[in-house]
Amino acid sequence: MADVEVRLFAEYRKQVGVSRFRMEADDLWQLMEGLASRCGSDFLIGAERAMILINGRNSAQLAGMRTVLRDGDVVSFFPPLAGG
Amino acid sequence: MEADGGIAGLREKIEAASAEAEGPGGSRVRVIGLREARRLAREASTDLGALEREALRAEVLPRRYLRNLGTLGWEGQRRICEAGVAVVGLGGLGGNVVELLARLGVGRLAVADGDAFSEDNLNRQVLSHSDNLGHPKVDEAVKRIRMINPAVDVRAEECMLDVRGMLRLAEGCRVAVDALDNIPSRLQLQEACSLLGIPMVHGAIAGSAGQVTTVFPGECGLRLLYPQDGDRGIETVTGNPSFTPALVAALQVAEVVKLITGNGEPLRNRLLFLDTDSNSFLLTELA
Repeated sequence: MADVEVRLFAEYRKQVGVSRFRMEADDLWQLMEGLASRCGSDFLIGAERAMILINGRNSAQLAGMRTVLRDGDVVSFFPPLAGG
Repeated sequence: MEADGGIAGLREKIEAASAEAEGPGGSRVRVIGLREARRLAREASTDLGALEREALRAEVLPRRYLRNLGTLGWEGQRRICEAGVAVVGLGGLGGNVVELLARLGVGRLAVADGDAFSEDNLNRQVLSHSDNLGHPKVDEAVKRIRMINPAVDVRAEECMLDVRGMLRLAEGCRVAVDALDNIPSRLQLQEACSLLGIPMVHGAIAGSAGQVTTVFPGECGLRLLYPQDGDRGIETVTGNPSFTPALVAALQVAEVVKLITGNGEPLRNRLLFLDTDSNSFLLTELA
């Protein structure tokens, strides 16, 4: 499995209490499962709607949840903001 | 923007009514005050905005813009005064946006919102106050804009717009500002702007966090920010305090200025994500 750095922003960081940590996963889907198991079932409010960047590239423009992770990747989670 | 034709003969009168003032770096600048400009506009049966644009062409600065000049320059101020901007949504973001655009001197503002002020708006929406609860937000916006800068031509629509309505509102505008509060409407505005061939300045907030980007016609833009369907974001949990909309609205207005003047680097294909709690301002690629 790939050793990646997870970075959390705004409300996600507040929920978990840390802004970055390391995890192991083969792809983004597995990382999400690992995050839920590590941080609790209510981790990431609407995480399926988060903007996720892998090394600064939007996962929606990669392979989405099937995006393969590699050692050293930085995976950043941004909660959806829509207030005006 | 209406043509400013028919008032070219005013130029000499404007110059005669102007005075010298201290400009950027101690330079000397010809200025015209609001009272003189209003008098000349009345005498020429034209509107104040047209008169001020004629003054700017003659290198006579409406005095209210003296502190703009060092940053915007003559050409920048002229472009701002000639530009139309659509602002969709007049809540926490939109209220601050129209306030700042009116003070900058934007020539025309087209504003829309279908809502009225309620008591839970008072903590952050600058157009609301204790005595206008229940009043349509567009009415209060028009009043405020006219009070700040009577040279601004304001057009208002009191409704929640669909794409067709957004097209009508933003037609002829140089740029549109997304100050909406839900994802489907934001996506509709992006579509309307793409059809009109104008950029859209997006801003959104939730709690201590905010984001700003500028989407040009045909770009993915908000589809990358909101990859899945849904109406709202985490603001339903965090709420919105007073300082986040003010901060994000100011950044949106800075984007509008860059787009209109051509100075600076717009946040094209880039997202500025901020969180005041962690003092983080992160600039990331969006494309």
